Amino acid sequence: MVRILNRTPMILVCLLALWATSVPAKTDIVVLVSSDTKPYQDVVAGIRSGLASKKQQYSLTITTLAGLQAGEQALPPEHTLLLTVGTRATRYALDKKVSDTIFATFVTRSSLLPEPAFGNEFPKQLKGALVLDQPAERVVALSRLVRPKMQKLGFVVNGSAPNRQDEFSDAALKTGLQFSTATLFEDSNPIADLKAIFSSSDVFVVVPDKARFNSKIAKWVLFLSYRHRVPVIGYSKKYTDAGALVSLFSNPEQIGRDTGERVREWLTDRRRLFFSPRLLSPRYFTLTVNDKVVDSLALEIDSAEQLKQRLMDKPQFDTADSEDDPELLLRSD
Amino acid sequence: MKYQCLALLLSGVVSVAAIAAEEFVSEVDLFADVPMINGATRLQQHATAVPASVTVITREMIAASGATEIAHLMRLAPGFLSYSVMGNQLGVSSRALSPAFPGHLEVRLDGRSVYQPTLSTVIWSSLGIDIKDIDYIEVIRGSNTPAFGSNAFQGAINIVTLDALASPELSLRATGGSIDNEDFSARYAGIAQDFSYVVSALSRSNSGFTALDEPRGGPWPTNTNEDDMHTRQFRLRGLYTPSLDDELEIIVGFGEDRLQLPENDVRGYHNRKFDNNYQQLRWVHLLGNGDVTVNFYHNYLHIEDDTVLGLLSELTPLTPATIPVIFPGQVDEVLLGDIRDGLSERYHLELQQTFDVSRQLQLVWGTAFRVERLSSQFLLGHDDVIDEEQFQLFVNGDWRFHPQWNANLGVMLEHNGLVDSFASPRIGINYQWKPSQMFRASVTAGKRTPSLLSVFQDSSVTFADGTVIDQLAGNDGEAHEEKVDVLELGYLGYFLDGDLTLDLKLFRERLRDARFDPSQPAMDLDGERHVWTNGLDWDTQGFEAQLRYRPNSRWLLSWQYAYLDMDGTWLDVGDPEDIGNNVPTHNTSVLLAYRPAPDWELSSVLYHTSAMEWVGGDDVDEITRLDLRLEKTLRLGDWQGWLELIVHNVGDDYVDYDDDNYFERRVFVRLKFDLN
Repeated sequence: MVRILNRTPMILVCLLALWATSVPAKTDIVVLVSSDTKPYQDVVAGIRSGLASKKQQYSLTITTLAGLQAGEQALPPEHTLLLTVGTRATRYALDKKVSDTIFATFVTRSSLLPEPAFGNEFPKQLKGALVLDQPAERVVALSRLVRPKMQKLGFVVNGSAPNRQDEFSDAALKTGLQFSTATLFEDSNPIADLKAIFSSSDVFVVVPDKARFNSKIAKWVLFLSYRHRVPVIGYSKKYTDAGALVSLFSNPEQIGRDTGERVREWLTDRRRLFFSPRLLSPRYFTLTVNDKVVDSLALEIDSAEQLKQRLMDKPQFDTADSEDDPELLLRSD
Repeated sequence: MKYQCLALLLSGVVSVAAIAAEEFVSEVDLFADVPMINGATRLQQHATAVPASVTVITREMIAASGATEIAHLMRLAPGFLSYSVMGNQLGVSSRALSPAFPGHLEVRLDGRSVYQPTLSTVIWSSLGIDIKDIDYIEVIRGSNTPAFGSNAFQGAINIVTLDALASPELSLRATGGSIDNEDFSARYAGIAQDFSYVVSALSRSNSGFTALDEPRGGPWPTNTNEDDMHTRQFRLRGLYTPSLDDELEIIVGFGEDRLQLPENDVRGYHNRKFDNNYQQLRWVHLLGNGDVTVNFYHNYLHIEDDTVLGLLSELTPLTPATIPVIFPGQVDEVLLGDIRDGLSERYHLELQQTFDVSRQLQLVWGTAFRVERLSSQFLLGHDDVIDEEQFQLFVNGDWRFHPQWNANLGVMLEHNGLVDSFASPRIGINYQWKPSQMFRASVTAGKRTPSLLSVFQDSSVTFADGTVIDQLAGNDGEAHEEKVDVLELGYLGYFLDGDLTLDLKLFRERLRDARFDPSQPAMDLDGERHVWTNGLDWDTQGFEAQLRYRPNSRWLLSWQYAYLDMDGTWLDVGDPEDIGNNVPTHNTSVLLAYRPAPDWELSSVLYHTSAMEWVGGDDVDEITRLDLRLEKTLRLGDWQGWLELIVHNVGDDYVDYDDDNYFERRVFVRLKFDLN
């Protein structure tokens, strides 16, 4: 009995420790959003659903960039991770060095690419990022699905700031496709240059660029698609509505959910200092098909859901960086 | 540049302001909205941000409607009336009186106003395009003077035709059927190295209303073709794109219309011939944060009538013997009437710049100079050409001062020799209640320069030497601007992931000093004449709704409804007359299209207009009309064809505008072939 009493404090400590480990620890995550508008709200909602877990509790503090800049809101100094949503929020966080552990989402690869002259280094605070860009391999695979006998892929590039040109040409070559590119500069004749590509392509892919460049070429691309009966693969539902055969994209909710899940996985297993790879491609995506265009081009293609399933059955294109990331460091502990 | 940005970023010295104009692609670029509306303010805006109710009649709706007349498509916009003054004289009006020559709407075709000063209206048969050439139509339902000036007094219609690049290489169409309808058109679209173009030609003819074909007697040879129409039009639209930032568009066209217009029981009908041509040059230059547009056009219309009214003794109780007594020195003679010889021209030069001042503020400003010329011995009472110069200066802004709120502020300043200077301002506030639902309130104070004809008309029936027999129409010599004050409350909602759109509007409209031509006592043969004066006022209030549901590519439903309550008084020969019955209280249309298989489409349109008294027409009963259409797609190698069976007015005959205008069941077969 005495022995038992003597051991009571130890037993209580053990029980307390057991209880403590059974209660999920709370992880503080601060979310900094570029804007309080609908797409960003959807991303945040997606993040919440992606983070949901029985094993771990996450405390989310939502902060808007406008609120921060106006002094109406402040970033909690103690937090496990700062999640930046959108380019402006990410740039602000990196610029002001407001956190040592940042994960960026709802951004493009173009906005985060490091400058080679500086050693291809990402800022140390940026542990990882989920980009909106669909992997070129996925887009090329889709073009194969909508036109199985295709031989040549066409796309257009903004000559002022080429975006993802090599990525797409590599993806085409890997699958045995030829490709042709129209590089448009400010003084290019869009109709003449695009016409040459459409004349020799089986499928045309629109690689999203700056909004102004996108809008400048959208009309010509869709018009020439109709004229040359070459299907266009777009990057948004609106592109499909406007006349693209099919569009492939990740919507804000999907990006948010993907972000939440990846952050949860990373926080659960913190063996790596950085995400691997640093720039992640979206796992979840949406396909929209314009049935009118299907009829107009007299194509026989699967439904959007079937196409999506067939794409998902293919190997996942989970990386936005094809090469190994030199920044990957194992945690010392 | 993107690397430079990141270099600055890494150095940690860049400010947020400095990267505001970043050169890399951002999420904003991927989720940038597709601009939908530009006819409301001249700015590229989403429908939820505009200060007016806008109906977009899509190419799909145009095809499904089975319409054979462009004017009739306007029935797919809530509150718009399209009517047949005669078999081939069509009118379109909105929330206003509907006379034979309605003039309160601005109608633009590819950026060119097609309003004709001679008759102060739009001559729909002279537009020069086939209904199948239309890409889409934007209808601004309500006064849009702050954006487009006087003519958009009670609304604006913006018709956009298919671009050459979006057209099949060769398109051939033919329509035949009831009322001796024979329509043919051909269209060729070519792409040269840096120039794309469309050339089109059309020929149309029909015999108008069947009931008018019956002989009416009288000494003059009557004809069984009293309201026939035959038109031939040619058009070229070319586009030159020297760079990514420049578009130069050229449009030229010409044609002629020959109409037969029912007239009186003596002569039966007379012939009217329109010769028209137009030239347009439009240059658009894209800037870093906006664009500059220069638009120049010239419209020419010559009207020639062979109006032989008849012998004076046949037209009046006068006998050949009494004529010299009443008109000393004159004898009984054949009288000529109507326009006989009229000419109108318009030269219009416009400069416009749109730019984004900031992420929150978008502006458009511009100026226009216009010369209108009008001559007509009959209408004006002299051979002189009237030249009228008009200046316009406009600015419209869309200010998003809160993520959920945006304000539209705009004003049009106009100056001309008719009514000096005036301003038409508008303020609108939009509240984005939910991402897919919006409320809107706007106030517009529109003003309109009276038409040249209403200011200068002085028409009489005369003997050959000019001696006046009977005064027909004149003016009071005191023209001033017409005014309309409009308060609108609107709602726009998107449901079912955007498949269903609901557009609601409540409005009150206070119109003052409208120019009209009541009969007044005169010392002439019939003792009265029409005199143009700014003397008509009316108040209207109403409700408009539009529901569009497109769950998938197989189904399309579009429902339009308008309720209108007008209160006003018309003075005719001194007797006040309530004009509340001159507009329909209820006006509805329902379009339903279904595609059971890829190569088949069934569609129907139901129209209903409550009983009303047409201005210049008759008191007619309510109209209920059902149109049906069946389309089969044909595929023959590189050719794709569409064979349509169209039935207009499946039910009983109805009267349109005038008691003589019996609209019977009409059946058409339309065949179209495209070569790609």
